[in-house]
Amino acid sequence: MLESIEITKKFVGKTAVDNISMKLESGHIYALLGPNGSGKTTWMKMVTGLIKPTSGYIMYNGAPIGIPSRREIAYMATEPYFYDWMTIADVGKYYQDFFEDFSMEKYHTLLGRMELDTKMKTKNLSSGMMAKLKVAVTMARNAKVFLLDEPLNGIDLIARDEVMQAAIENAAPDNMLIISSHLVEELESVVDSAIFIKDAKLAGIYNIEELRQNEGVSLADKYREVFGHAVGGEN
Amino acid sequence: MLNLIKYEMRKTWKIKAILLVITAVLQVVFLIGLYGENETALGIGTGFLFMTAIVGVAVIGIYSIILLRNDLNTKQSYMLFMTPNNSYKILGAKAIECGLSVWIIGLFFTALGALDGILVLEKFNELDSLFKIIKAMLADIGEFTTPTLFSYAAAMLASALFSIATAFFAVVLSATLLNGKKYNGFISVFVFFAIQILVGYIFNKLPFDLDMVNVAGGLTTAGFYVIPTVIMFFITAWIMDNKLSV
Repeated sequence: MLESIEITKKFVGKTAVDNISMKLESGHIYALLGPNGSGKTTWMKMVTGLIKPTSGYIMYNGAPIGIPSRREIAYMATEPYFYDWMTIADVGKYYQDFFEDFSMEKYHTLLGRMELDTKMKTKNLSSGMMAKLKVAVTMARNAKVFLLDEPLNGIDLIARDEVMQAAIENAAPDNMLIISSHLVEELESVVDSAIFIKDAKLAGIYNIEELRQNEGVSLADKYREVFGHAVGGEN
Repeated sequence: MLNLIKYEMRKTWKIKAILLVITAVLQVVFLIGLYGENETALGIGTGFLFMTAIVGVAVIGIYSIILLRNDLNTKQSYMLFMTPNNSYKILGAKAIECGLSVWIIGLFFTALGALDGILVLEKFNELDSLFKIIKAMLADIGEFTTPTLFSYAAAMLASALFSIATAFFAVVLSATLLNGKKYNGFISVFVFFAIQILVGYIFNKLPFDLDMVNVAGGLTTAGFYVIPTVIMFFITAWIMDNKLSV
């Protein structure tokens, strides 16, 4: 279980994450939704330990996040972050060297499906290829928590399908996927829950099925409602 | 830890390869000058080899500081800090790689210099004169033995590592506690020099024999610099572990 307890992150002149508390359970695929600058990336980076919170805690299975949790939490940043000198093969070797749960076999399977050549230099990859590589290397881990930050950014429809397919194939009862994206419709058929973050604050956690049954709205409708463009206003 | 060191070495191999190629070219110029009896080539080869040796060792040290700065301030930092390694290991790998590189390259240039010196004197059939000159020099500075040489090298290495550890501290300070503050860069440079001067001042006040060209003096100097180096290392790693956001 992943627990965010009154977590706050302030940068100079800006509060990026403001007092967010929530509990996330294994066996779910969460969409992390919110406009640009709402705090999604900062929250994810705090979960991975890349950013230290100003106050509050992130707990993973009852313990504060730290070195042990990094062994079980796989993070895919939205920006390219591989060393310039690396080939696609080097990236896999690097993950194999540092993460015990990394499967080289699975990595090569994903690369094959995504038509990525292991000899290619990462610095020469197009944005679509880079997105696929990041997903492939992240999803080749057998992690307990997958954090995918904007995995669909800047890639075409076909590549999106491949990326999402690779991501959801890893979903299992003993792990959780948290996927942030602006493309709400793309996520709607994949996720079972959605976390809304608005102006650095938690605006709600919704079960997609319950939304449909109880409120009769889709995830996209709820998104519009929460972030200011109410469905009713369109009538 | 070994994996971290391996990748630190991978990051620095290009600069070392460049240094090696430059040295090889200059060595060829030197040999052409020596055996082709071309004084200009001999002069250029000797002068630039000497300069490359001094600059080369410094460049390796400075490059490791630049690498740390990049690892803290670019997105490539994720490659290090999302791995299950604490900052003590990450910084330790950098320090070990840098220390080893400086030591090996220093040793390499010392050996190359000695070899070239012997070649020159052999060419001019003056090896006997060389040994006489060396003996006369050693008589002036005391007993110059293998232990003396190693203790001197240890003192130089320890002093260089202290400077690098201080620079690591200044870089980390800039990326953490001073991040976003006005005059961030200026303050971190000031802190670097302030620590260097303070430790140098304490060193000069020590009531020991600090002549580095004898075993006791060399080892005392090395031992002295190990202490602030270790202190700087632990403070820096602690700040990284507790305050660093990348």
